[in-house]
Amino acid sequence: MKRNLVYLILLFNSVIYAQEYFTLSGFIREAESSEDLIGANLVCENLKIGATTNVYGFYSMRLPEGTHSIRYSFIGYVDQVLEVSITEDEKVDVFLQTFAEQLSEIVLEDEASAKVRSIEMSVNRLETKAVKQLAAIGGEVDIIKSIQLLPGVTSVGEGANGFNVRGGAVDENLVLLDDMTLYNASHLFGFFSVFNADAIKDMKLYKGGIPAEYGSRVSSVLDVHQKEGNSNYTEASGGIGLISSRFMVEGPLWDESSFMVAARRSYGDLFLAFSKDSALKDNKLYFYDLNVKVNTWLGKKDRLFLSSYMGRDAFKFGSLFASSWGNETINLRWLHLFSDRTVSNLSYNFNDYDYLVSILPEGFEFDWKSNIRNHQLEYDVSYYHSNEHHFKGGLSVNKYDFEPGLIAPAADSSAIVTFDMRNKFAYETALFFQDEWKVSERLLVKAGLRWSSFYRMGSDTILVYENDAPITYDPSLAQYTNGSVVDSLFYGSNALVKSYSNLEPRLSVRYQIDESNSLKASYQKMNQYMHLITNASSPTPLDIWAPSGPFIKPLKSQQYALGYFYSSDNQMWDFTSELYYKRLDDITDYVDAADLEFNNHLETEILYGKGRAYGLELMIEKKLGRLTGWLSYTYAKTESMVSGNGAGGPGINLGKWYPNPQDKTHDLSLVAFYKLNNKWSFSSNFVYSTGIPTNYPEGKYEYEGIVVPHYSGSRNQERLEDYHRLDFAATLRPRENDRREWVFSIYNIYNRKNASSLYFRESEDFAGQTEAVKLSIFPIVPSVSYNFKF
Amino acid sequence: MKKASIYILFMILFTSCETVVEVDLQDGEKNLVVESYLEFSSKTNMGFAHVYLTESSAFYENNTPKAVSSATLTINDIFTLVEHPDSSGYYVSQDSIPAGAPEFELKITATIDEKEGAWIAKDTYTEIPSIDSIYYVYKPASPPFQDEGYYAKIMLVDPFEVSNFYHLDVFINDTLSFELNGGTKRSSILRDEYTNGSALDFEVNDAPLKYGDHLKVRLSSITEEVYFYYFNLYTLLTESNGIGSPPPFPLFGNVVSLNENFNNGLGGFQVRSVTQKTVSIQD
Repeated sequence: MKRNLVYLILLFNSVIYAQEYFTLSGFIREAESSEDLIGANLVCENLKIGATTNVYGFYSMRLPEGTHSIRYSFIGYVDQVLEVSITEDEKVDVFLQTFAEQLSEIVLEDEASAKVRSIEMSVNRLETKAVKQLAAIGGEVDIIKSIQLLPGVTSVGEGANGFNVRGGAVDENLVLLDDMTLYNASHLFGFFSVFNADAIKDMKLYKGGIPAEYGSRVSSVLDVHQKEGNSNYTEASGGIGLISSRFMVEGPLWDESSFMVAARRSYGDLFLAFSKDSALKDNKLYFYDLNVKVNTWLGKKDRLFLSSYMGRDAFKFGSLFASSWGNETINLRWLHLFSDRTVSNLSYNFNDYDYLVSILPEGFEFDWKSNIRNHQLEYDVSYYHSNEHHFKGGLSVNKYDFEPGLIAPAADSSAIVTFDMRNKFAYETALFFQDEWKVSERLLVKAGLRWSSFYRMGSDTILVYENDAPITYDPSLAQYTNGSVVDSLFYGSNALVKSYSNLEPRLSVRYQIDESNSLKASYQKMNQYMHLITNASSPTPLDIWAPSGPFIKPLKSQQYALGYFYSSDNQMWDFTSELYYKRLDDITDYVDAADLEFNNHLETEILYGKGRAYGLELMIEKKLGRLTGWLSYTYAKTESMVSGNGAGGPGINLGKWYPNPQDKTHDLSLVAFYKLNNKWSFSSNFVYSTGIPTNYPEGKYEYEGIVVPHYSGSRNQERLEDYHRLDFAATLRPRENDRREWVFSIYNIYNRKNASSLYFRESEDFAGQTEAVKLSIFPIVPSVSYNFKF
Repeated sequence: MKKASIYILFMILFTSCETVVEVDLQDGEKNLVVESYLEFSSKTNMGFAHVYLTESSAFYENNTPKAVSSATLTINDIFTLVEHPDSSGYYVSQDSIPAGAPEFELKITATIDEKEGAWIAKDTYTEIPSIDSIYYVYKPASPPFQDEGYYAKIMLVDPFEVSNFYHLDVFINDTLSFELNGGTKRSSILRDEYTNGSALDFEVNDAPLKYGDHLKVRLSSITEEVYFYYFNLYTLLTESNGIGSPPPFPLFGNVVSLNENFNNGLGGFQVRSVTQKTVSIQD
């Protein structure tokens, strides 16, 4: 009997060994528009093998010969099950219908089981459908404001530029739009973002577990993709709001091609044109965005994409000053299918961010310009070796031109003399390789290595300081002062000034306990060679980017994360919890009263130190039913330690750990959506967070008749009051299946005067008396907007 | 113009509201506050020193600053300053001081809360170019920042061979003109980093003048250290402790404490060369 059993087993194994494997590949797209679906899933139900589409909507899976039941799915779309007969490599493109009757329109992630199954952790994906339903200030849907409702994502306050991820500074986030780098993703000083939600198809935020294909920033990657445009028919959509209006048109150009053009402009200043006052008419305040994308297939294996984004802010106040700033970017990409298992992507990007300030008072008229520009070439190849191994590798080359500041007279009568801060030049290169390895049914490992290098180039003149100390401490004056210059070194054009090279290992591990539970862990090491020069709690659009070099060292980080993921059997509930610890080396902070404007020698204002951030993120989501939404909570700490180091002296906060401006101990978001019927749906957000760090004076004195608050040398040891706010929005579709809707929203329903800042000054009403004054930005703000599609 | 100023200006203009709040503050140590000037006439090159000594206090203390009386003050160990009999804490030089020395040193010995302290401050003499002329022009309103009226302008040539830093006091009908905020007046400062060697022709009043108004411009040369003291002072008062602003900081000038009883003094000692012009708005 035993012998027969052995023969049977051997026969069975030999049958399996003899089975051939073939590749099932193709694209998963939306049926109505043929838009590629990023992160869509497919599962071979009989073999329990799964795969996910990449950013081009492409999938590849190895299957043994035979007939298989393949389920294609994506949240918000009707599943499709196909019986596929595999006798050779098969290409199957699938078009999924949107699920109009779906009760839940919440899309935070893919299906619950996919979140448990996926190796990704510390990643959030937010669909624009959900973003558009959230109550927003002035009715302006905003992706950046929306991601701040997720755990681990915050900002220092209303009107703050950018966002903070796990305590990281704003410049530590890599913000990509179709692979194009956006150096400033905000309009109107941070009130709104540059993303026109109509033009956006998908966005993904990596807070940790960042794959090796990404680099250059140490805290996060916000990867946003524009729509390709409807390949089947031309349609237009738009919206009219109180602050801005937008319009988008998309459609096919020729077979296998499409385009998308979207524009948005604010118009508060247009009302000034009606003023009888000629001087008032001349004032300006507006922003605009223009998103363009064109793509076409050239045969069956090649696809070309051309994407562009241009956006600008402009304002002018009488004859006092004028300013404008904005991004201009372009991306040209070639997608090539070498085979059913090998996909390559060659991409060229041009990114430009500039600002212009015009100071207009008579006699001192000048223009102040600054600019950062980079050309980038990237190439990557994905190889779906087997269901056990998915390899990806690539390289990128960046060329940077920094024009930190040019002041030039703006009138013949101006007394201003031209002043030009020296331009700076640099290259950044990277090579990466990663493998997603299915070790077993339960264990999935994604390991990668990125080798990044940075080359600061001439032409440039670098000062040499006595004792190599650009900054020194004067104990008698109790102040940091500039070091003594003993020499200067000139580097000619394209001469190497300084280089850095670093290995950046990345590791993610998923252990699936069962269909509903998994444990995950990740480690990442990252380097950042570009720095936004600011000592403010929130950067402004007029801050400059500076490259690493002989004095400004690269910022380094290492992050560890551990997570537990649960999804209920009926996929109604998801629960995620993550612990993280992030360590930063060679952080920069600035001495008290640092002079950062038009300073060619920033090394005289900088002290170095280390930082750490750690926290616990919890999130529970309800994904089905009339009532859906999520509750997220983060407990976190973010702090820095900057001692005097080579400069001597006490450093910052006497060399002790101090909270960063973005440190918030508790952060809670409760988001709810309720679909009453096909006409009415409602949403509400409640947010609560610990107040941001601030500083209190320890006394006061009078100088030249002015009351001056006197501060100690400590930093950020106090807190503003806690922040909380409730928003509400109602969406009305007058007719069922109508493509027009009204959105009524109220921001800050109970009109809380949340503290944005705290000032200490002499009372304006009572001479000689001093007071603390809280500055609040937004009171209750009702709004209405109208969205349409045809 | 500081970038943060533009940011805060925008915020305040368009969106924000202010509320006075009560905050629990910890009181720090008392410090000596020194307002001291050694001013040289550009015509005579002879100087006059005056010093006002006070103490710092708790933030919410609503009294006028406590004067520091009976202190001992000398300049270059030669010139003694005596306390004015009618003004406690106010010290003046008895003799004119010639501008011969490149550097001047102020020594202070004073008692605060029964503890004796000693301080020393140094500053350097700098030349002031003369104001070539002063005149006024009529301007229409340019909202929201400029009202219609007369605006006075001065003309001078910034010396090319040196870095120049200026302190500007503008008096309209004998009242200091520039406003820090509602009810608080201040001076203005200039540097020639972007105007070195240029012929300057600029407005000196931000509030408009009308017929019969009398304007006096007092232009002083100051050192780079004193310029940055004022720069940091105005930054601390207008652009710190908020979103888009750097953190506040302890602002010390050039008054160095010589013993462990006290920190360095607040305020500072300035050596200035002064020139002035006046104009009246006539029909």
